[in-house]
Amino acid sequence: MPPVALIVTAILSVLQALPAAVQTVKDVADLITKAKDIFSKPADQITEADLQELMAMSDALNARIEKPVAPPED
Amino acid sequence: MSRVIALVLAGFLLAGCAGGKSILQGGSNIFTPVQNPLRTADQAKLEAAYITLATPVAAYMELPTCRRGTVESITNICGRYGVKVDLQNANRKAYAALTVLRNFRARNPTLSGVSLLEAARQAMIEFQTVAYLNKVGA
Repeated sequence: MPPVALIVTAILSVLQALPAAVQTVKDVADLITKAKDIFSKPADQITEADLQELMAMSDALNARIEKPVAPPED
Repeated sequence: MSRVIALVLAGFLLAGCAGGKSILQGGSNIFTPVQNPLRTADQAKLEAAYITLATPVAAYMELPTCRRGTVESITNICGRYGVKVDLQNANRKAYAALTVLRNFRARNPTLSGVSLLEAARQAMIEFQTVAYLNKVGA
């Protein structure tokens, strides 16, 4: 493949992955911000409702991590 | 004799009004209920720690798996199979420890779950170490 075609292919693959990557970065930032809020709150201000919300977030993350991983293709 | 008993009872009642820690927790009050040393805040902070660790890991798991013989790069955005398996194993231990703690606290509101809290903290540290060694997350 000529070098120009290689460069175009590389740019296209990065552009294709970009929206998903941006969304992922935003999701990561949102979740970590919520978790950090808990660390900055005094212990007596952390309610059972906060805990329930955190537990639901933990469950959702665990489900994402535990999805089966396909072995690599050749 | 009855006066002595009345005085002792009055003493106990006054001690109850005065508040303070239960005698079972090193205090002097026999009327104060035993406070569970595992507070909502302790469990919430552990959940928050798990979220902080698991968020970048979940993002990594959602990358397409690298083809055999290739590695991730700026033009080949993928997640290594071996790393994904290691992260899953570490996550399984951390999440299991978290679940044990949740269930214990829900079923035994007046018993201390401090040892389980410590076990869950250790599992989080192991999870963090696996993620760090594989350069996933902070």
